[in-house]
Order: sequence, then structure tokens, then C-alpha cells
Amino acid sequence: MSAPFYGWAGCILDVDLTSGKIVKKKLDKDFAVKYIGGSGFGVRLLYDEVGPDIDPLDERNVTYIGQGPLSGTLAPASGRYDIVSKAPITGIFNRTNGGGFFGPEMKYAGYDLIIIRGKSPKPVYLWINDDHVELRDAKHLWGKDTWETQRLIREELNDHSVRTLKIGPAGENLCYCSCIISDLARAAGRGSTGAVWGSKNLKAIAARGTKGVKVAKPEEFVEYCNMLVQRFKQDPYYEMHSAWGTLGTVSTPALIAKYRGPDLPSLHHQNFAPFMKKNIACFGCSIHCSHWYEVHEGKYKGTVGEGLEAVCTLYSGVMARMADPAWQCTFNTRCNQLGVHNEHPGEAIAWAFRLYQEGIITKADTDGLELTWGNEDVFLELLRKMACKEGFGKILDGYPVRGPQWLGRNSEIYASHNKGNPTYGDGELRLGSSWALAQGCNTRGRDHLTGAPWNLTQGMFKEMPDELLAKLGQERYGDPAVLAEKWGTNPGKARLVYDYEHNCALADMSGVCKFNAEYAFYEKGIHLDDFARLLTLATGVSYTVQDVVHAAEREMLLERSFNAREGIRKEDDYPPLYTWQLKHGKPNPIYDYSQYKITIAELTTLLDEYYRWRGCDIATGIPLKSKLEEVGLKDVAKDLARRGLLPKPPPVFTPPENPQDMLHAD
Amino acid sequence: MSKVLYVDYDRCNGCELCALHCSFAKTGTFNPRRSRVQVIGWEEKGLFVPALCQHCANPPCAPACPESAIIKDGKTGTVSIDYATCKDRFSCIPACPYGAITIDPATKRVIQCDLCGGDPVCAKVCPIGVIQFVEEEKLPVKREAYLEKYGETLASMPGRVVKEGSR
Repeated sequence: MSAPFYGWAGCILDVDLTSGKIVKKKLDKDFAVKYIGGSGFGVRLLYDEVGPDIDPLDERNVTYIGQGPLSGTLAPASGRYDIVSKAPITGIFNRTNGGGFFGPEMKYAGYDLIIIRGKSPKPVYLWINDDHVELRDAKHLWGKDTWETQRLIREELNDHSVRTLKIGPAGENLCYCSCIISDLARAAGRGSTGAVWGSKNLKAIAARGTKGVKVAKPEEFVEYCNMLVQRFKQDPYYEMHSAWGTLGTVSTPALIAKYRGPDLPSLHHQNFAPFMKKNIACFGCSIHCSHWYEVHEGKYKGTVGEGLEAVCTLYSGVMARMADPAWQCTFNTRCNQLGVHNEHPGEAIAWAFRLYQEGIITKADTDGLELTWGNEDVFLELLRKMACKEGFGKILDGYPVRGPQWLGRNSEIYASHNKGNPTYGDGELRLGSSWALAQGCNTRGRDHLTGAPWNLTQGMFKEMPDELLAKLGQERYGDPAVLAEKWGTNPGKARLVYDYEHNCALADMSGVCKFNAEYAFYEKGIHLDDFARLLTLATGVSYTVQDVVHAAEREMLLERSFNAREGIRKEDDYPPLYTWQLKHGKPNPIYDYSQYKITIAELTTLLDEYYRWRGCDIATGIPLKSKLEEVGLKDVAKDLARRGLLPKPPPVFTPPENPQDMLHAD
Repeated sequence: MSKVLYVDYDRCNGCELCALHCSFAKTGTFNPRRSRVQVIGWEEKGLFVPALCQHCANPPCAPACPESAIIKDGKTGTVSIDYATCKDRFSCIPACPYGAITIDPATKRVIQCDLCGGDPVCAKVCPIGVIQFVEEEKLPVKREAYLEKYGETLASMPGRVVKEGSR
């Protein structure tokens, strides 16, 4: 008799689309305890199953849809799911996380992880009804947008309560801008995972679960969850997040400056109010950061939808000058319906607008479209073309690496990316040293959701004044300057990024939204000790702070080891413009590097310090044998050694003593 | 003067915290499908309806039951199911205009709100006060007004509540 599972459902669903074979495997308890869940399960299996010889769109690529032991419980906002794959757009590791209601439903049906491998001979969708699991024909769904797909699946199954994950036309067309959508507007956006599903002929996963989740210490668990919610409601950021979500940040001058555009007052968040009918929440969330919007008049009359957020608005709005809030609502809904990651079009189209203005491309290249800044109709038409890979849309979809290559004409100097993940411009060098470092060393390519301490950016938010930053810096790191100084090479900044990565990784592994954690509520959100306590009460397995730190380190080291195998090295760990400089041996000619407040040498100092914390080789960024062995990844060290990648041991380094280690521990 | 559960359907954001807490209070597990409040989402309209027994003055579910297993308590006003008499015919389910009777997937028996014995947990945990436990006389809006507005929506929802046999 094996011990019962608490927190975890105890089962892995392994689906081979090539043969149609569906296998249910018992979750190994030791594996579960060690890797916790969600992205933790995904990255471990991806490392073992998808080697550097496998192209992301090859049928041998695998996608893992994971749940954490806190998913579906009363842990704050436990409605997340995590998708791990090798990413088509970057060719490296990718974990992408979405909210809504699919995650808990899959857990309630009895599965911690769904593994999708192989390629179906024809379009299918996976239907999970508790123990009953089948692949169903999806011929009638192919070509449909995500909203219609959900509607048709529910009608077919005669159950309005079925929750779905699906791709839109962009995923079917193997677009680099594609994503996976749950419900109507919750996206697992990064890494073009939608194209991985498209390449496998998988249109959707539909789930209905009635089994619920049991935790080991129910009363104490619920009491602790209630306490956490009460606590983060006192955080300085709570008011903004609960009223506006990330959209509340779009009027922030520092952020607008980061995106290198003009301040468009019409895009200030208050101007979205006429369209916002009410707040919308994901499963089990007290913050309710999303909104339901409706446009009742004007050109975009009839638009409805939800989930408008800052990055989408800043990229398309500030970068490409799309100034009308009603247009923003329309754009966001179209992205969700097409299954397009809503950041990518803003970046790619801003790039194309710039090329057009510079005379590098003309109407002859753009299928006759006039690419003028702020041209609403042209932008939406380009979005459609991107999702269909039609004409010039194929070049835009290929932004930031392939598109410029296909186009030629030196257009790549206007493109901007880290490890193949797009951005536009030089914004990563404008928000402070820790932001620049985190954007560079990110394992899935430039990104703000896996370790960038955005809410601690100096001078950005009224909620985080300098005095508070100094106080928190003193409390956490024994040095106010770690948080209070925007620039410079204070070694504490590397430690800060290391800590943030752990907080984000633990949220993704355990199954809660990082908007309830330190990531959003630095002062009063879920800290590392809270994760340890929640996991202990939920699973009945005793987790200490050290245990959860090791689990997060395992996640990060596996990601870095995977990337090392794919050829990622230290020069890829810098923000876009500095990577450019390292790879080309000279600065990018269109930028004036003297304006940046952090030099490449200073960033190297911080990066080296980060590598010391992370246990990586300072020359290459590849994880060290000693560190891998310390956290129980001896087999990974062996694999890297076999491939000749394992770095030589460095001189002995003793990390400075730090009050953060003790803080929050009981 | 009795207190009733008032639900402001217009404002519900669909978070299902009521259902999560209810299922925990009633079953000790986290399972919204075993909750006595079912949040019915019509996502494309941005509409979420926490379907809750309104303990009607003249409950239409009572005469729909061939066994007369649904009882309206004259003193407390509470509507409840006598499980000893109930023969699991589920004819009460479509009779409820609020879509508030559902089948517990674990026991396969009908369930509806029992007001937690006078201190309903859903009203305490709703983060935005959509569910309130108030005296009927002090209701901001007559409950019937909501039925006029959302009755059709509730009746047309496929599967979750009103259609039998989907569980």
C-alpha cells in the first residue's frame, strides 16, 4: 500500500499522439517531493526527453502541462497551469504560465501533469472527463478561433462547465507569435508553444473534473491561506493591482520612457474606464486584476473581451503609437481569438513602422500597405497577416531573428531581442541595474515574468517611494542601497535577482499566481517561508525554507543546463544591445551607448556575482558540477560532462553572510 | 424577520471563492463541483452567476418533487431536502428558476444551500460583497428583478446545472 497523496492528485497522463495511446502513470512520490510540480516536473522531464538534436517543431518535441500541489486549493489564486516545451521562437527552454480555470479543472480530474508527445495524423483534441480520457476528431475545429473552439467543444460535449486550453489559427499555422489560450483570454504566451501544438495537430484540451483536492492539514492550511490574503491586502501595491491590474502602470512616466515612445495621454489608464464594465478574476483570486470591457460606440462598437494589460498596451500603444483605448480593446480581443501572444505584434510592427519611415522598406514589401505610425487599420491587417503567415506577415511573425534575416537590408540592426525572444528598442537598459541583469540572464529570453524585480524599480511607482525601498533594502539585505540605488554594481542586486527568480519559480512550481507573491507584493506577498509552510500543510511533506530554495535552484539549474546544451553562453546573458556588441565586436550603430547608465563592464560585474549565487561558471554561465550535485542533480552534471560542457571548478567562493537567509524563517 | 442570501449577479467577477469555501465547509476538500453555490459563467457575455438557493416563500422545487421531499420550514423559512424521502429523481433541478439545485458528483444526490445553519460562509468570504446575508426587508433590489434579468440566461445554460444526466 502506498501512502496517499495530499496536494498532488497522484497521476500523470501520458498521451502519444502518433499512436493514439493514452497511459496513466502513478506519480512517483520522491519525484513529486523533489520537483514539486508545474514547471518543476516539466523542466526535469524536458531535460531528459528532448535533447539538442530535436527541433522544436519536430514531433519528438514534447509539451508538458503541469499543476502544482497548491493548484485548485484555497491557496491564493491557485488557478495557474504551466506549459513547458522547447520553444520554436528561441530554440531553447521555455516555461509559460497561464491563469483562468483550466488548471484546477485538470487537477480535479485527477492529473498533476499531462505529457503530449508525437504527432497525430489528423487534427484532434484531448477530452478529459475524470478517468475517461479520449482523443476526439478536431477537423471541424481546425481553422476556428479560440472563442469559437471553446463554444463548439462545449456544445459537442453538452456541458457548459467544461474548461478548455486551445490554439487559434496562429498556432495551427506554426506561427512564432502563437500562444495557447485558456478560457477566453488567459494566455500561456511566451515561446510560441501554440506552434508546438499546431505541429502535433493538437487543437485543444478540454477538461471536466469532479474529484477535488485534499490537503494534509486542512484546517491549518485554510487558516494560513486566509492569513496570507489578509496580509497582502495591506501591501502598498494591492490597491493598484486590484483596481487596475497591470494596466494601472501604463501612465507611469518611467515606464513610458522605457518603451521609447511619446507619452500618449489618451492611453492613460483612466481613459480605459468608460470601457471597463467590471473587474474579472481568475480562479480563487482575491485581487481580480482583469477587466471585462465592452465598446458601445464608434468604429470599434461591438468589441467585448477581457484581460487587457500593461505590456500589450505599452508595446502596441507607446511603441507603435496606437492611441485609442477602444482600438486597444479590439486588438487585445483579436489576439486572444487568433491565439497570438499579444506582445509580439507590437514589437514586430513597431520595427516594421520604423523600417518604413527610414525608407528601408516600401509598399512593394508590405503588400501595398502604408506603414505609418499609429495607423490602426494597417496594424490590425498586419496582425491578421501575421497569424496567417500571409505575405509581409510572415516576415513580421519571424521577428526578431528570422524576419530580419529573410528581409535583409541590414534590417536586423533595428530589431532587438535576447536569446531570440523579442523586444523592441533599448528599454532593458533604462529601468535600473537589477532589471537589466534579470532581463539578460533570463532562461527563456528577455522577459519580465521570471525574475525581474519590476515593482522595486526606483522612481517608478508612487507605491514604492525611495524611503520604503531603503527600509526594505536594510531589512532584507542589510544594506539600503541594494534597493534604493537604481544603478551601480552593488553585489546585493545580483542576489536580488537570484531571489526573485526563486520566488517566481516557486509560484510556477506550486501552482499559485505570482501576482500574489513577492513578485508583485514585495513587502507583504507570499515569501519563500510562506511557500514552505503552504507546501508542508498541503502535502504533509515537511518543507523547510532551505528545501524550497533547493527546489527553485534545481528548476533554474535544469533550465540553464538545458540551454547550455543548446549552445547558450555568457554572451547571451546580457540585455539585447550588449549581446549585440559582444557578438558583433562593435556597438549597434543606431543607438548611442553613452546615454546608458550601466556599462557592459558593470553588467559583467553583476552577472559574475549572479553566477556565483547561481553556482555557474563565470566564464561561460554553465552550471558547475559542485552546485548540480549539491541540489541533487548529479545525473545532469554527468550528462553535461559527457557532452564536454561541464566547466572546470572555479576557485573556492564563500557567499557573504546575508540577513535574507534568516528573514521570514520561523 | 428572516435573513436571506442576496446575490448581486451584475457585479460577480467569477472568482469562485464562494464555491471553494463552500465545498471546504461541506466536504473538507476543495471541489467547486460539490459546492452548494455553483458559479455559472457565460464568459462571452462577461457574466457570472453564483446560483444559490433563495429559500423562496413558495419554492417551485417543492411541488416538482413527486416524493414531497423538499420542505419549507415555516418558522425559519429555510428550504431543505429530506434525504430519507428523496428518491434521486432530480425533477427539482429544472424546476428551480435560480439554477440553484445541483448534483453532488461524489454522492450522486441533489444538494442546495442550507445557509450553513444560519451563518453562510459564502457571504463571509466573497471579496467584493456580491453575496450578502441580509434581512429581506433591507434588500437593495427585489430578488425577482434579477430573475427577470437573468432567468432566461440561467435556463439556457447547457449542462452545468439545469440539464440532468450530465453528471
